[in-house]
Amino acid sequence: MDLTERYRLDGRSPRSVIHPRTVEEVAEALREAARSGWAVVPWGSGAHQGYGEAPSRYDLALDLTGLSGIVRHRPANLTVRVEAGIRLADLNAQLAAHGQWLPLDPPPGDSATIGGILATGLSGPLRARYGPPRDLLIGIRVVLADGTVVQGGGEVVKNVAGYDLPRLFCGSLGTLGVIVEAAFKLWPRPKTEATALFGFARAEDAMPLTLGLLRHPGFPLAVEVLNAAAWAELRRQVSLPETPEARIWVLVRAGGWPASVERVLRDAENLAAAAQARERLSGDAAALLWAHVPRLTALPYPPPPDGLWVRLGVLPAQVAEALRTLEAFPDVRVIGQAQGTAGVIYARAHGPLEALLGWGEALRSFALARGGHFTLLNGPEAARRALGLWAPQRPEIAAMQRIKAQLDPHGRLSPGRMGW
Amino acid sequence: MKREAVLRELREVFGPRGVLWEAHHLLLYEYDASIDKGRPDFVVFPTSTEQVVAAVRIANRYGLPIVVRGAGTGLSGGAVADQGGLMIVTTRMRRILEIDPVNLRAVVQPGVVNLAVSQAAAAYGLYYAPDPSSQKACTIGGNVAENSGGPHCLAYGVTTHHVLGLEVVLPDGEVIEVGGAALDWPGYDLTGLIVGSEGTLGIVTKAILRLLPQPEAVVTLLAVFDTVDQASEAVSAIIADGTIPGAIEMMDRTAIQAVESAKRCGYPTDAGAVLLIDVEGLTEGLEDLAHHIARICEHYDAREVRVATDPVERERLWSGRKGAFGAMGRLAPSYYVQDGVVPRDQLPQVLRRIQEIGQRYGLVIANVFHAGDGNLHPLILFDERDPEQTRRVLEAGAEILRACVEAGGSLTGEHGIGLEKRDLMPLLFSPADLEAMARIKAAFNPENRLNPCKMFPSTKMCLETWSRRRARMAEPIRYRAGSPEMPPEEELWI
Repeated sequence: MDLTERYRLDGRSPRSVIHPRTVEEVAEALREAARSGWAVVPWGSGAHQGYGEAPSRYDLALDLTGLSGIVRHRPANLTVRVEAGIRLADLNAQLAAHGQWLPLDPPPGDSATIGGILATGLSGPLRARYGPPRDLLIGIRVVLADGTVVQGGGEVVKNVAGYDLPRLFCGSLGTLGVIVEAAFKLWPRPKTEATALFGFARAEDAMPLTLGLLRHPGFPLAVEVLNAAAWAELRRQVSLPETPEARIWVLVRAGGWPASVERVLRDAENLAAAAQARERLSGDAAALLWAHVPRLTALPYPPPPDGLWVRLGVLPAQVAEALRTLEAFPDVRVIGQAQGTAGVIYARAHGPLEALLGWGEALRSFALARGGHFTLLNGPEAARRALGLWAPQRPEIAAMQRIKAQLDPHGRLSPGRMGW
Repeated sequence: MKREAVLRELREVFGPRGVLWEAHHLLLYEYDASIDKGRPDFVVFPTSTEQVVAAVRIANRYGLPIVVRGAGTGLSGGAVADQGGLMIVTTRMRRILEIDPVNLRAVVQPGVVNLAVSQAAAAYGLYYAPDPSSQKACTIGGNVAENSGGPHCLAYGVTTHHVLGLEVVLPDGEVIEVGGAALDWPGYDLTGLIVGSEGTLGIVTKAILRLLPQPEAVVTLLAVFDTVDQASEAVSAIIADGTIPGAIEMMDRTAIQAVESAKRCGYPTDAGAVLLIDVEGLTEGLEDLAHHIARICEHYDAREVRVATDPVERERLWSGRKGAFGAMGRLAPSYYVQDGVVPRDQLPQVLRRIQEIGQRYGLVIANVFHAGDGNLHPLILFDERDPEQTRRVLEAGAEILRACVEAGGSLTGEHGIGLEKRDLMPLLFSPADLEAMARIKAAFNPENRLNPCKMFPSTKMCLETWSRRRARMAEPIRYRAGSPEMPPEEELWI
């Protein structure tokens, strides 16, 4: 089989695939690409490759999974530096021996590589407590389009020397440079954990719980809101109660010392006065649940023709309205999940193309009318054309384009990914 | 002539009370809390974004450098107009535009004082977490520029973790919004890039901040150790144990003695080091947790651990830390504070090296710092009227930062690079790294008009100032009589 087949993007194969094993080999590959004028797309596990516009040019696939080492873990310092191709699962397995973790749970699950997680910047349920990937990133090493290796940040948890390159590269979809190493601040694993599930008839009924937990000084690890279809999907993977009258579920994950975990869940129960159903999980059952929750809206690659994946960002108090809007279209089946305290919503819809476009357009308008944002994560070409990659498109985009032009003047890194 | 034309235009926009241009007025704006000085040619006090834009356009028309200043509490010279030009002071943009107690957001103008945000949010049981020691005076705009920290950033993160969106005036006068009240804004993270850019990429005219719920209860521990090494090991052990307290601050013997001679806070003056630890969160289990941490300290040979839950007693324990910098006046007329960062596990070794550097230069160095995140604040005590001593202080300061970088750390944890450390940047960054940053700067500030000669190693254009600084260091600073060498009509900024 032609090896380049595995690296097809939007029906196109690269001319060549390189598997560098060292940062120097990445730099050499990019220098060579610069000499040939080739366009380069970095690859990790491929889990996120559907996100962003398809590259407008694509000559070289740079597979970074060979850079999969832990460069330096300083347990007493709660920091780690890793190569970009390491899988989140492998990293966390190593850190677990020290009672530490990198608390990220992005949509593709923990098979995603660190480089991919950073390049997309997508967050999962744990962000309620620990923030999105960029809040944990303290240092980064990237190879620019011309093969120059540069670094920003460092390996200390507090550092304001120089521009915050780590944040700039986070979420840049491989358009500014190829991430080859990243340093993170780690967290101790919580001493104990427990999970409570609450089922509500309507999204509005869940808001006292999610907004109450937003301002709870016990800082729950996750407050994830699922619609009925997401719950049904989850029930296929995990043994969970079936409560037909519950249309919205809130999953509350608390961690810390036993007394505070108990307190958070007790307060959650009081805030969930309107709940029709409640359930507690702990141990393996809870672990299994939380392994599956982030993947409910995982992005498949290549995207199926009848599906659309979107992300909305709104205020936490607008989540109920957003969930209602998600389900307002009878011709599409929608799996939706919201980070209840953050207001970030991931949803996927399946149905006829025309209905999908209407659904996407309605969500886009909703987010814009509420002062929020809309991102098309994955979907057929027609949807990208109709909806654009993200909204609102504000004048700041000119500044983004100037940064791109400065760092990649010939437009050879993932060209067109951001829509330009 | 040009000077008069500029003045006329500025006065048209800002009125007679909104512009300063006379030498005796400008004198007040030639310094911040660092050691560098530089006099602007004009100072304006905008009250709105539109006025900031107007000031920027005037500066552009006449080729004036622009420096933005908040309260002037910065410690690295970021707000010093060392190239002259137009200074934009934000202190009249001090309105809190919105507190959203449901979504935990605040929208503020840049001149709002840090503590004022927490005071406004307190009615809702909320606060703004970053707490620089100057929080009663420093402004949010300055905090955003420097990515300021503070004692409680150990648990809650620094400014960048709490800024969700900004309104920014670019050097050409265009106004853009970046980020917003919703999280995870798509596109490049310009908010994250602009926070900590030290006023070199744009002028912040509005900030959307994240608020946090106030902790339900706080317990403060004072742990007393015979040696700095023991205290440092206790810090690492507490963190490694799996609990991250709200704050862990350390003071060494010199600092303790200064504080105790200034006001009695109850720190034992024969101790080698004390740790101040805030444990905070839910009431449930908090005292157990405090006692758990106390036992860790005892395991690392703390000779005494005091636990305070009562607010008055807590305040007394903290008063020493909060008054530490001021108390240095008991020991010497001046101090020079450094801001290096090291990995926590390197603290004992680096602190020993700092003492060794002090001895070698014949200088007394006190340490008062954020031990939990390895952010050192060595205070080098001296008399700035003594030029020879001042020179040694600067050299010792640079050597301390070199020691931090060699230990795997950084030049600055929260004070910024500014003028002070710009020529040390190559210790941390390769020419390629600096070139990449220069290109990013060029994407915003191509003519280098906004806060020129800050943050990056001095270029040819900046060399003159640098040599002036050197020259100044060779003469008494504060008590220098008369006006500086430059006649007011000399148009340095052309």
